Amino acid sequence: MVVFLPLAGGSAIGSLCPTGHSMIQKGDDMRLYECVFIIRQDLSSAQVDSITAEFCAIITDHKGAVKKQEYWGLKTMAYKIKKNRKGHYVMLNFEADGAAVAELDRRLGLNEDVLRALITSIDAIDPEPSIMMKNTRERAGNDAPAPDDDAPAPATDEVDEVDAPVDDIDDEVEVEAVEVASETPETPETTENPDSEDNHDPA
Amino acid sequence: MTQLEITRPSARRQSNKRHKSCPLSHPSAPKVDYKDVKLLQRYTTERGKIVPRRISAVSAKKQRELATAIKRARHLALMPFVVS
Repeated sequence: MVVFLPLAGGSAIGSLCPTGHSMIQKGDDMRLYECVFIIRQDLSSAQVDSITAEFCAIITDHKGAVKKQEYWGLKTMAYKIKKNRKGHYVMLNFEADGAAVAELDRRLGLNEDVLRALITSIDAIDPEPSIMMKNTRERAGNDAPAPDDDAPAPATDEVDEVDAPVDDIDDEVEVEAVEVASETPETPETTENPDSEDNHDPA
Repeated sequence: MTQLEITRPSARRQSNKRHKSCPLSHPSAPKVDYKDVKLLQRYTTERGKIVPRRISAVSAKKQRELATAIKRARHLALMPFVVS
């Protein structure tokens, strides 16, 4: 785009928009995307692989390229989706144009084995494995974090009592802030200045 | 004029109360990502609500990033909408 501006010269305003659009369509139609989808829990990992391959094929058929593929494993979901408590999480990082993404999105919605899907555009593909893969590795090593995941769920019955005050705390903080604000006017300005300096130092 | 003099100290009072800086704006701060559930959970209440930034001291820009990240994580059932 920048190259065209000096060439356009005097009639720049008229020719700006069309050239700009054509440049975007020619140069930038391939973008990087990240797709995460959840597959029903009762499918085997081989079936998950075949479904993943199916979606990879959609991308490659539209002249896209799958740059990275991750299987996060059978994870416990935060809430039930279509009566499933768990799901196979798969992430794809790929480069494709809008048509490929539209088709992928359509097929993800049609496939009944896919519980959820999220396609986001990203600026760059991180060559390292994502945080999810790090977590699964730690779990494989320790075998301990698994109960950690289950712990919050059974505790929820008791948490109800704890939760009510939690919501109140938000209000209390507000009240405190107001009170402090109303108290401080009595303090002279001389104390205010050192306070502000003290606060700046740790920051 | 007199009104101005009254309002100015009150503005100072609020600022000197505590000057917390945004925990996500440092150059070494972690990137806000919907996959990083552990990070996102720090900015939600036990109920699963997004913590207001007047409490978490997150900058406006990062709070917007956090909100979208938390909503994406909720969509993928990585985080709960409500903990009841």
